[in-house]
Amino acid sequence: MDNVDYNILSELLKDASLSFVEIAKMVNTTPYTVRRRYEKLCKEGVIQKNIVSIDLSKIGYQGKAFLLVTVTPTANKSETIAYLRNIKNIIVITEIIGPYDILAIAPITDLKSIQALKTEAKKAPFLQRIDIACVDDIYFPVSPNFGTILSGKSQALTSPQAAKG
Amino acid sequence: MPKPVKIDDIDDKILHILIEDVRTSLKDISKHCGISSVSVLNRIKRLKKLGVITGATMFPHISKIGFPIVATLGIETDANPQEILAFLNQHTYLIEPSTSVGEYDVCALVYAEDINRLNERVEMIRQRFSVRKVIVNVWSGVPYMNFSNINLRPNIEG
Repeated sequence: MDNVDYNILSELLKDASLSFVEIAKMVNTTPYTVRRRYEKLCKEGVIQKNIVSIDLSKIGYQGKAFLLVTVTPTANKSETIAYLRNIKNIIVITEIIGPYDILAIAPITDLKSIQALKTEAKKAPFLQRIDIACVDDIYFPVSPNFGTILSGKSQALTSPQAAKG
Repeated sequence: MPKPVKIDDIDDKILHILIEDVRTSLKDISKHCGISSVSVLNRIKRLKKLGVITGATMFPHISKIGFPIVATLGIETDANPQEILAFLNQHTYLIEPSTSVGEYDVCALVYAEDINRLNERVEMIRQRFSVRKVIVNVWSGVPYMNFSNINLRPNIEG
């Protein structure tokens, strides 16, 4: 990847819905170049997904639940994950290293919805224990910090010093 | 709590298409929903105006742009959670800051360049605030993101 790639990424991280023409203006190149680079970055897997950002509080959610799952020592984690990811509203699920084994995140409306989520999740195979942390964060898919931070980072990577390190 | 914005079947369809790919053209959306491009645009404008749509997020392959480490920090503390969040915001790549009810007092998603940097930051928090415990859960493997799985009309049952 070169500076042009990083500059394009940086603009898209700030706003993923920008048109190629708008990006071209910002990074001083032609829309054709932007399109070509964009397609290349998608193909290489650098750009994975462009998602609309939603304020969940506007559609009735109050926050998110972090399900901190502990599985049995002999568990086949992938089976547990396969079960959990079919539960409605679980939007992110990952294996974690630390006191827990799996983290799943789902938006929540009220106490009843947390209860329903937990009841569903408890049916997962190899499950030993579920702890829950509820947060008041209503950003979907992630907070706007995400783009700002990463775009700053991708700019830093374009500087020659960063390239050496 | 303010009344939720009304999302009808077509809004729901449009939003789900935009969750799959926010760069889908109006023309393609209109084809999928069976309404004109102008109607699609008007609906998107309405959702923006009501604050439902706040922008668009690009997910890059994070290790390819220099952030191989993602961790969820759980912090148990008697200090003011907002102060800790402000500190995290200044000193780490804080993605999702939140005060939490339940397992932790503060639950934050942070990115780091490497495991040593992450460790440094965790130590800083431990020393600076009257923190009882900082629990670090480092994400491993490829996280499974399934944003389309969200129910955009949580108040309508079934």
